[in-house]
Amino acid sequence: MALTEKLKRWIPTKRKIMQLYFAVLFNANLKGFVSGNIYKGNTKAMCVPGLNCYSCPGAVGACPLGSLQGSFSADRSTLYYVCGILVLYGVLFGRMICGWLCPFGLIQDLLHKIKTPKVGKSPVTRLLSGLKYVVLVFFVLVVPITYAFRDTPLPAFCKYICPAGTLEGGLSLLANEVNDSYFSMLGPLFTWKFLVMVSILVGCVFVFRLFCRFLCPLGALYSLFNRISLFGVKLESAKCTDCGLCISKCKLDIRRVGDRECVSCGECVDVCPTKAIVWKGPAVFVKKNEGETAAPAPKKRTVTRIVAAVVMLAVLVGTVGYYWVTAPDAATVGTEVGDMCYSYDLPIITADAITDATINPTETGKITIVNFWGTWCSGCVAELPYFDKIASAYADTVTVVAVHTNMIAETAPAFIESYYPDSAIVFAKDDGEAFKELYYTALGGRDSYPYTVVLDENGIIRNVYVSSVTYKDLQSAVDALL
Amino acid sequence: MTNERAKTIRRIYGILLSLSLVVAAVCLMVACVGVYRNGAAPLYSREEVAAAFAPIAVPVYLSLALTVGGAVLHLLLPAEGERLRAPYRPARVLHSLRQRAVLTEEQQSVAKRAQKTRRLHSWITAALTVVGAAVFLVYALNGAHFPSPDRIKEELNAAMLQAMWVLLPCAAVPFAYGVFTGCYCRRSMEREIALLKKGAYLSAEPTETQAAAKGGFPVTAVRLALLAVGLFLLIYGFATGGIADVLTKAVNICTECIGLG
Repeated sequence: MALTEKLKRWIPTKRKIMQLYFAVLFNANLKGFVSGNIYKGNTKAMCVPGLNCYSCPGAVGACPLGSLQGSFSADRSTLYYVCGILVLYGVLFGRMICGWLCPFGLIQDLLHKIKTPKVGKSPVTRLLSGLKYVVLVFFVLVVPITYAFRDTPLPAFCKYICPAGTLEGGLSLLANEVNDSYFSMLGPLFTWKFLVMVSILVGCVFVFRLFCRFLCPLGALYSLFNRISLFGVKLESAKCTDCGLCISKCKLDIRRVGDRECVSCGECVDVCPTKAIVWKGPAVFVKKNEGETAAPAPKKRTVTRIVAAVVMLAVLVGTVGYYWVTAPDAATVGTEVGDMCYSYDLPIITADAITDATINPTETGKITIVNFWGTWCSGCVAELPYFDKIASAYADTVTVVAVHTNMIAETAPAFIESYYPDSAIVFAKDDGEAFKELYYTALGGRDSYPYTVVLDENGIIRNVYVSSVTYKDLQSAVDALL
Repeated sequence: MTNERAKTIRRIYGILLSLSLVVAAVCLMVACVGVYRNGAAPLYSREEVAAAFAPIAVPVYLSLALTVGGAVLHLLLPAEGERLRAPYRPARVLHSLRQRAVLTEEQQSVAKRAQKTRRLHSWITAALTVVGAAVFLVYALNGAHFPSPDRIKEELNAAMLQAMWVLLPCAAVPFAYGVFTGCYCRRSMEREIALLKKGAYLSAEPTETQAAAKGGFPVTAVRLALLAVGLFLLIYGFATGGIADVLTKAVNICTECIGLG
């Protein structure tokens, strides 16, 4: 076989091109992958049809499953809105969404292309395909609704199963150094979800669309609409000779074309000897069946295809360009509320001495209160008990770093030993070498002490107090971030 | 190169690739569990995680290289085009044979008995599925089995695990019986097909008349009704501010939802 012939086999099909197209379209915020931030624009209020995590840095729409689980504990109008979208998607496309529009479907299809021996369909896999309805009922409906009655949102499917969330959201965010603070959150849940994700992805290499067929609750939901969907494939019974070639060709657990398992990939259309499998949909989008109307002239068809391709490409480039221009950059490092705080390692002061150990206020992984003080400043000393109290009361969620000015810092150890020997406050020294200036100045301090900055878990500045604070101030600032 | 030889090479390569992928996956899982068990919990760092994953770089890169190699191999030694064969569906064969068969009374009673037994197993499977679903729903809908919001952090994972233990038998029993029923019915139908082929006279024309065509499902009407319902819900939800909650949830990272913790 000539090399050109061999290469022809690698030309992607129309469906692959469409899957890739929609995967990019739904994740058009390419800038997010660079900056490590998720998109926060208004388009995120719209659910995309496929399974696409909205915590993915590229996502420009909401995940329908995540929104559905969240809507149970939200206002009733949210539930109406999300259900309306899901019903419309279902009635229009059914499980054609799984075959043509779902980004995670594309990932599974590509993994199955790896040239290993495959596990084919069988009556056992047909039985297993019912498992996705169990997942739908328990993880998407029962648990979130149970907790909705207790005013607590709990998206159980996202939390315990969704491999798209771990891959597109979790790992994409962790891959960017901006989000290093997320490493501090990792624990049993991440370990579990990582195991689930790896198992599913490796399983997809051997079993065609393992997640889609056996576990995906979104597919289970859309399958309820498959028979009545406006678009998709259908079998014209009058022409069917029941030869079964369509079922042989299909890698899914279908019993007949267009049933609940059919994702309307259309691969069976060409193998049907009697042309009994046809595309359904309005005549504007779908070519009429043979015999119903004369096919358009080849030249006209080519022109239409070229125009359609150019329009689609223009839409894609325009969308990506729009998000590239409008999406904000990574949180700018600066001194204003909303800015990313400067990262710097400060020497720790203990009751004994100024040590070589350091603490970086932006990398504690908790809410961090950075208080600039000095033993010489009466106002600073007077408010220290509040910091001590908040450090003890919120020990699990808050780190208090009391940064002593570089002036007479040598008096600090003795002060600490006298008044705060067992305090939960981490005392540090502003050594004046941060960016060739005081850390105090780098964080916007302008000659007045005390000065307090509250950072969230990601190291972003959330509150600035350019004077003394009370315990109530600190408590409300912390509570707002929890 | 002969086709047979190319096929053997592809097969051996495929097995090697499968093994390497499975090994890489197991290594990834072990490394992840290792980070969790040996890490300086509750604080991890990129460096700590990178150090834990470093030893498994070799199997992971090897499997990636083999994957690329597999693609090149299949480019140079492409597999033959897929040959489609009509699937063997004993139920269909039996159905068409029955339509043409002229059976003796004894054969008829044997066939009926086999059919009855198959139907009985199918009903038992269905009943087990319903019972399993009911038992699990009774468990899941009992709020007492899930911790109250103030104890979610400590007890939710255990509660979910407990629920999975309840779900397991509820799903496994009907599943296992379903597999048994499938195997039994297939064997039973094959026996019946053999009986019909050997022992019965097959007429050229169907002896049974086709069942009257069922009344058509009103697809268009249902579709239109659902479209109207969907549009109404969407517009009503949008107009009453439902969009705000979706937006709020979508623009804030829910670390728990993406499995970070």
